Amino acid sequence: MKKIYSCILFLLIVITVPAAAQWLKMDTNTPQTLRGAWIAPDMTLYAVGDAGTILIYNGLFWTPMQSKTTNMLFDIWGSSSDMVAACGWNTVLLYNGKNWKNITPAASNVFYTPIWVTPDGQSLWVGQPDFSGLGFDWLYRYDITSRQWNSFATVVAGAIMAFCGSDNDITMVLENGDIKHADNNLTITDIYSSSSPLGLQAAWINPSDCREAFGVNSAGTIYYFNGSSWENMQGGISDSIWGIHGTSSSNVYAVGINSQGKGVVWFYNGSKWKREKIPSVRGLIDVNVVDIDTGGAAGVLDKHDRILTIGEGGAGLGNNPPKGYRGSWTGLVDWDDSRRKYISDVQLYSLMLQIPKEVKRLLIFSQCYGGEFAKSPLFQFSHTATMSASGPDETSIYGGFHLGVSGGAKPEEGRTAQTIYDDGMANAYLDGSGFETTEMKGGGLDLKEFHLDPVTETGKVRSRHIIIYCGKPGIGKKKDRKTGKDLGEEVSDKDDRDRIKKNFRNEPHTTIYTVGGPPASSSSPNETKGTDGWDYRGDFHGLAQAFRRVKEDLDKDKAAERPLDKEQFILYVGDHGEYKRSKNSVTIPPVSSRTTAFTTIDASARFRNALEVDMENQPAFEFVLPYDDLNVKVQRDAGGNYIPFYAQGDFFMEIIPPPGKGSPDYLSTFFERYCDDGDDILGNQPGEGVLLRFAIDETIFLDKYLNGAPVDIVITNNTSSAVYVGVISQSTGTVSRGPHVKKHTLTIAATAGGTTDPPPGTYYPEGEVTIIPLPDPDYLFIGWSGDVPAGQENYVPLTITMDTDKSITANFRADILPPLNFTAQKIFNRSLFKAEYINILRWQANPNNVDIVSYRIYRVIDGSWDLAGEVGAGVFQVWDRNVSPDREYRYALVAVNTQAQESSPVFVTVK
Amino acid sequence: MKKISTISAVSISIFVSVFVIVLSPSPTAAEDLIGRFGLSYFSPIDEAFRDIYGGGLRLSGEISMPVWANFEAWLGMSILGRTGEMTYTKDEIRLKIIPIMAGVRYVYPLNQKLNIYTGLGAAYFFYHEEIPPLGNINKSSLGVVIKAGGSLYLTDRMFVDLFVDYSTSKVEPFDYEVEIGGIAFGFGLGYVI
Repeated sequence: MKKIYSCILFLLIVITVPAAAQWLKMDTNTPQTLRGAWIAPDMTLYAVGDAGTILIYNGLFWTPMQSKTTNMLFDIWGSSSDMVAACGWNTVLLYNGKNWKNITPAASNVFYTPIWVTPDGQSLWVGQPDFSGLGFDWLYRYDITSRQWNSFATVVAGAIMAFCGSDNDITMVLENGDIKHADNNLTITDIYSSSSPLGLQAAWINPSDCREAFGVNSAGTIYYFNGSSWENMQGGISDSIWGIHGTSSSNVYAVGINSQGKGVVWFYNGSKWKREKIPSVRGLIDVNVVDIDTGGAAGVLDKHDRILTIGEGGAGLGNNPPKGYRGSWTGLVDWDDSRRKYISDVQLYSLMLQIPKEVKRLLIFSQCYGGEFAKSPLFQFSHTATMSASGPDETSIYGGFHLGVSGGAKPEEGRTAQTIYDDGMANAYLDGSGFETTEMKGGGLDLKEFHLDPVTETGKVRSRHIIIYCGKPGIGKKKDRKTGKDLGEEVSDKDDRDRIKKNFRNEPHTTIYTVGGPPASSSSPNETKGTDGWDYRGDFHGLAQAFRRVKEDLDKDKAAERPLDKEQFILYVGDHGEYKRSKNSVTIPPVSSRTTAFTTIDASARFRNALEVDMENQPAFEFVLPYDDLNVKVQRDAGGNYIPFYAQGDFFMEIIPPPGKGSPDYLSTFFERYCDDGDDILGNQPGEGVLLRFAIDETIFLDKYLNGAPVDIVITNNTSSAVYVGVISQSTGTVSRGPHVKKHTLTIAATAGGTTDPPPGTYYPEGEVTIIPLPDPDYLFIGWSGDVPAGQENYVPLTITMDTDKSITANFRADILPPLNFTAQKIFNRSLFKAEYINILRWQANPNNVDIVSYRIYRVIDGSWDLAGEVGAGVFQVWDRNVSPDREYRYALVAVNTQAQESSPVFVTVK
Repeated sequence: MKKISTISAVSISIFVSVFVIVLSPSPTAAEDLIGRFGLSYFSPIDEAFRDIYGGGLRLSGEISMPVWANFEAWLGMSILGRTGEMTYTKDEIRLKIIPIMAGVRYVYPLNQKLNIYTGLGAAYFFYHEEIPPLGNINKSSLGVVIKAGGSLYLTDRMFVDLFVDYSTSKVEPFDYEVEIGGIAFGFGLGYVI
């Protein structure tokens, strides 16, 4: 009975206590002190700081943005990723999703801070604190719609610490504790006058009603404004607090610096302030926290919250960032899913790297678990829109989504990807009981911004390239969800394919490639064509072929000067395209002290454990300890390296061969690996757990166990706890009978600027090996070298046959980015009696280029390019003199690097 | 056939007349011939001219002789040289304008030492502009000049002269018009030969 109570108590604890926040140090890749942080509604993180630093975090890494200033930036805020504002010394900047623009009202040696963009993006408010002691603290308003500052700024009686509210209804907390109201005309009225100055240096107003506020002074005293007066919260905080922010009055964070110069985070759960345990970082200056989905427990930082705090020397901390992201938990299904192969989002991402950044992409995942792809951090870029038939880690509860999507994917004036999505939902087989589903849209590009207008020479879309993928084309069944009644056959995936092809068949500058089903010829392993009318076979190899064709099409478009930002790429993944990977379904009773489990090893089978591929080719026996629902944190040392859960001696394995095959083998050492979706918590996603791998000598393995006869495996649990054992399996590696044949060595290398999948190193594979180049940001893959089959130097992926030792090098080079802001102006130049017209061409260097030695300017005449001139890397202006006043001139400008390689061109036309 | 403007026609007529009068043999010519040398500040009328070259000093010389009552015929020339810049590219350019002028003036003696005068004449402007990026210009045009001034005799034959003149001549070298005349204020020395 006591045991039952204990179990119930344990379950209650598990159910009621949300997972603790994982504070993770974020590498911001900058030595500059960061002073302002903001999290956009789409979870993009922004930070600003010294020397004009503006950083953006896209889910994988921080990258600098071009701020066009070296002034110190203090604060950043916005309403969306397309409307962000930053301010600082002599500077106010506005970001429209593409570029930062300087809108400083007056640059006369003043600080602008703090800054606020109203939630509807209507206006921008910025303070200008007075440091002279004369009491001239100013408030400015900028109307974003009309792009104008109010004619006059207004004086407020104290430096502004925080803003809240909407455009005509702004509430402000001042340094002295006063609370003021401002309208559009900057008319200031008092809400509350503080009886004594509080000396605040940071404040936050609860946005739910703009009535509650928190403020903190330099002594660490925290005040709470309850709507009518300030209260001293008696927080007992001895640290110096620099930033404060929250999501509700019971979820507030304050950050700062302690007496040892280390960053501190304090958390208020509605009743008391508590210091958070965080990794060691330098002083923290600002914090921003949002509730991702309004879920989770109040007063607890959990996985429903996203927090970002930044500070001195580029310090950055966050929670739930996808650190160590290792790919989606689902994959695009292969034509032969018995091989348990799948295409992960990382692999798809690697293929999409071939598509220029300017091209807008739409990714449609029409089947179960597509939400994993739609929400993958690899696709949350401003040029990519995604949609899915299901939320992350969910099956598609509404069949038929694909019907609407495949029918709705057609060119028509005014249609957008949102229309496709709506068509998908409209055709889902609803049960009539309402509509409750996870948001199935993703990407950084709003579906409404992806236009499906017909392709024209002058319209919104100038060319379109489509890939239709369906690993296992088939026929689905309609089923009424409520009654379970069979509604008959759905149309087949092939029909969906043909419908999309038909929809776009008369469109100019449009290409469609289809990838699906098994190879047309099963006898030829190199057959790339699919069966049943599919252009390519339904696996990664076939998909890569289709991407290569799209790349060729885009290169042609580029040569024809078709503007890349008017081009589109669409990937439609058909009904039987997605796949839920490797969720363990085998449950074996718990091992208490000594338990025997049984498995059968088939000599013809090539077991692959579900968690890791055995790259070392060493035979082994292994078993999984599934951590379903345990939510155990992965342990790491100070250097971030994984610390195994179990020590040698905790488990032993005894393998008992079939009769006549000798004595049992006793394996006492194991290697521990773990499987995690990237959040360092084992058990919060299906299939997560720990794998213990007991390697065995290859000769013994061949002689005793690779014969198809059943063996007994005895696992001894020497720990003090009971553990559950999941799948017990055998990994053969690549083994051979008879005379030992030397395995062929494959050496993979990569030049600076990228890596490969599999990573560079030495391997001993057999058969075919597929290698994918993975260039770093701003680098390009320029081809393979080494033992590459003739003519395949530029193949992505590269598939080689291991019939001898081979060495392959992936070569990368820095992407030469085109110059920025290329403009032209025709001007009149005269003496007293003679005159001429001159085309003045101006541009700016792209700061992400590293080895530019010159710029080349071409005159583009009837599609042919004539070199008009070449200037040094420090020259950003060229005059084309004595031009005709009546003719239209078109110029192309490229940057040239030390290897005389040219960037892609930028064009300008002078009329 | 090129059309001749009114100004050009008047200018040619005046030129021919004055040349005939001044240079024709006369029994009194040697006694009445008057020479003048002057230095003046020339200010262009044309705004573009001012922007490109600005104003500057101009040298001038003149001979005249009485022809009837208080009227004198006169023949003169001046030279203006300037350095300037192209409007956008700021290339250095140079300009010379040499007008040859002839006309008639009315002299009104205020007393034995001082007289004032006003006159009208024609001018034939030679102009030369050096524009390295675009080539040189060598052309000419006709125009009109109006003069006024006063002479103070220091001795029976030597006098100092203060004068102002206004000249105008329009040319159209490109798709715009240029006025190369202007106003000049100056002084000079004269001698009755």
